[in-house]
Amino acid sequence: MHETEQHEITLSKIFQALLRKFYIILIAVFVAAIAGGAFGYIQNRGKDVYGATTKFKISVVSQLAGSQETQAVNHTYSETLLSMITDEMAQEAFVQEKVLPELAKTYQIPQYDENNPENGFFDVLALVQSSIKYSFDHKVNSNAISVSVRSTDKDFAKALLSSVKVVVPEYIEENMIRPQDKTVDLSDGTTKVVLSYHTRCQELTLSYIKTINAGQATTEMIKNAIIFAFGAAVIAAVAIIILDNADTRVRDSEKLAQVLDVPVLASIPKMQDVKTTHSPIMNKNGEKEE
Amino acid sequence: MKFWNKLLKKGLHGEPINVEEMESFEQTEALRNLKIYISVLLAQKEGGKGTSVLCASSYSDEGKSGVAIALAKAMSTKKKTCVLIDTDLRKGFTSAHFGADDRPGLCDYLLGQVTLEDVLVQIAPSTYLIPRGSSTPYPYELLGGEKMQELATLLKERFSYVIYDSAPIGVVSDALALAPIADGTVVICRQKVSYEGDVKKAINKLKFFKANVLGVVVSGCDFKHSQHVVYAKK
Repeated sequence: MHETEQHEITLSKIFQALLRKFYIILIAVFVAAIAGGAFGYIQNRGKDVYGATTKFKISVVSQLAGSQETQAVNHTYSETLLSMITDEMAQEAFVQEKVLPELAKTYQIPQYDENNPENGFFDVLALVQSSIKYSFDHKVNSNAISVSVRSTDKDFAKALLSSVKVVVPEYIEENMIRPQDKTVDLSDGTTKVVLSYHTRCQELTLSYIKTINAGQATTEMIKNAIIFAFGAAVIAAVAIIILDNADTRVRDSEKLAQVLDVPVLASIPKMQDVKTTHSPIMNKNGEKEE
Repeated sequence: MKFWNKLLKKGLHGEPINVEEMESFEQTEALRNLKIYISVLLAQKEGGKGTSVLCASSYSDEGKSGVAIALAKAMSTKKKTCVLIDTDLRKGFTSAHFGADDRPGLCDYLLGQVTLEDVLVQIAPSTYLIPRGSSTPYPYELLGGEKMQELATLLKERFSYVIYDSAPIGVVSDALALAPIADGTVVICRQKVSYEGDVKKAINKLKFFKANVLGVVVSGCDFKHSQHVVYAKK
């Protein structure tokens, strides 16, 4: 009976243990918050990220037969088509064949060399590929593709954005599948294309490279401080509960009486240490001797 | 202060406690409590012999000697005398505390070299000490011998209370020789220091050696936020 009772962990015991050692939780939270904040700040200090997002409108224009004028035609590309073209542009082949040659005009990059594959070309290729993100916006009569550029190197980001602004519209205009041209049968038995459609890709937004993570070091510092403090509080609380449960030192008289099955006769306060102090004895006259 | 002295001296059983020898209100009350328990558990008959209490503990530094000294002083009154025997023949901290470690003591008496009168040292009014005396390589044999039993009987005839301050049970076996001699045994442990398992082992060991374990005394208790302090301040 007693053995069972002493090993029970009740909510009350947990709270008592936490309350008793609350200062440990406070210290752990304080230390962890400082450590976490410092870690977050140091990790993100001076690591500015530059970037920009530019949006291209994709529309269909038609040229009337025999006329030099073009006019916009209400037409919506399918979502699948937009998805396919963005996926294609995210491929390594697009970056290697289109983006890198354009980028090489303004930014110095190593050239592809079969005999020397370790010359850094593939590193740049991977960097460029990971620095550009594509997304599309598909609505009725309105198709748009957004291209985001991100880099920790401001000049590189600028050059990449310029390259993207050139190659993306070209690629889209060349490769977007055109709606079928309308043909009519003439009286002489021949056919003639009445309407000719093609895709136009125009930049919608005026984008320029800017710092996109301003104040990130401070934000990360606060975020890390909170996360670390919370983690430390939880770990400290769990450790206190485990250690308190494992600690079988004498603390509570009532519990001791239960565990030992003998009464606790008295709880005596701290007294002077017999080993380090001295008390006088009495002489035959009943007086204390020094 | 006069009020407290009056109240403390009165006592529950009408037996005054030696307040001057106590360090604090909490200590006085705790020892009074212990005294009452011992008085009830080992009730003396009218005109009967004195009672003996063995103070034991699992290990050293658990407050055994301190409690034994304080208990001896608390038990003694004008009418009732008490003798404290330092049976820790190896270390003898109690004897050293009173500066009596170089005096003839228990060991010398058990070896038949001195008389009882030679070894008795008065440490307080109505309170006496028998120091450990000379050192010996056979403490258990001496404490478990016939001479020790004779001494125990003699002391109970002469003193109202006999308190044995023993060596720690978890370290040496000396105290076990005294277990059957003493009328009751009090196991002392220190709060936040002693382990429950060690105290339990000590009690089981004492019971195995036919000791009458009266209970446990917890020493070194923190009374900072206790009702004693609140009550004393009112």
